Amino acid sequence: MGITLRGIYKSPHFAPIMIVAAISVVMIILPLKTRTTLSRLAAESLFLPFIETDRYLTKINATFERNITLNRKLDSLAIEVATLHEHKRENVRLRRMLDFDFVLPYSLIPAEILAISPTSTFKSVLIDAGRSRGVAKNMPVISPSGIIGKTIATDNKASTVQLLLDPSCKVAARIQRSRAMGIVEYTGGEYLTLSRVPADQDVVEGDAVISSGLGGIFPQGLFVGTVIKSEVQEGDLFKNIIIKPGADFSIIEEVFVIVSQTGD
Amino acid sequence: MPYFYYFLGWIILIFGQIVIAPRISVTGIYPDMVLATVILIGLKRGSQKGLWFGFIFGISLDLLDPQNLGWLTLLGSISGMVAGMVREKIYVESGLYQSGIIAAITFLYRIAIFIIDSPGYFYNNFADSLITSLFIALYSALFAGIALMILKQRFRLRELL
Repeated sequence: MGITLRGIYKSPHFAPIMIVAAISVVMIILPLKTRTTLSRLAAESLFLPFIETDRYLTKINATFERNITLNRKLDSLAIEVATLHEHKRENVRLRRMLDFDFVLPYSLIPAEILAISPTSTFKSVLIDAGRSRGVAKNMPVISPSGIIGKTIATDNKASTVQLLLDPSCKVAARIQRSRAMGIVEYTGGEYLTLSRVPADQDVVEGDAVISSGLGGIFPQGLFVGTVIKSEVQEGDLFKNIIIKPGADFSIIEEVFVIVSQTGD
Repeated sequence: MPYFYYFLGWIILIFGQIVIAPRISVTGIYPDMVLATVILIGLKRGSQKGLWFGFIFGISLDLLDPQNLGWLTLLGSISGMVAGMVREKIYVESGLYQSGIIAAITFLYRIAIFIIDSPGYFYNNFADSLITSLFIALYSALFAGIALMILKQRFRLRELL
């Protein structure tokens, strides 16, 4: 045993692997807040040219794709806008009659993505809004197309956002049409799952899934995604519901942190 | 002067991983260019070089991922060192052999990442995690194989010239 141990000590690998292991362990046990600061500093200096290039190319690609989609939507939306305009006027008139004040349901802080993990299975991003702008831990982060995730650590200038693609990030949600309740979570693949929806509930393909506000972090009414598959296996108590997330996580550029919820 | 080339190599690889790799993804999976290169360095230059290159590249990627900070450094270093140890025990000068070693080590590396990321997820999606890891490993090996072929071809061209 003594000889074996001496052999290990004398091995040319011993000292380097010990140094590497020690540095790695120190980084692993650092508080998430400190790691967030380190990542921000790296993203703002060493990796800035790479990140900016990536962001620029992503923007070009996203703009091109969005242009096609928006042009298609534009025509149908023009008709819808005209109708909604009428509804809005009616809404204003009725609210005034009932003495209701108009309030924005949330107070939003815009932020840009500072860094995304460059590995295939990314589950968090770094954004450029931190404590100095009022961001704290466990605040919802959204994009115009849906929920992105929540903040899990902040420093003065940046925050780490846990994405919905992290299996431990869950959102209490409901089907907008039928009000069936469930929990949105990531269970692998490209899509999200709406679990814990009883088998007798009315859920069909195309249904919009919104946050229910019951989890305590995400306010109610935020768009999560659209049901693309809803089925019940024989004998199962719950439905198997697959959701296409509203937000495209591969092209996130700008997000909003919900810092206060006045509408709940 | 070698340090200048190392720095240049670092820039090219990090650029490749951050900017190029996501754009050549297949069903959201893209090659781990950095790890493939670290393994290749281990295979070509031995375990010590593999370990230190793994450390440098691991720490570089780690800095962009606050949630996993430290793990990629450790796993990258080990991967580079293991590749070097494989070379010291059994080395065959063949692109196919090197690609095979890259695929094998990348596969184990991805499995380790899955387990570190979320053991529960790995357990519940065991088959999916294995398939994803295998796909990344094969894609990385394919990428490295093509890069090796191009480099060799260029080397021959230079000889001809």
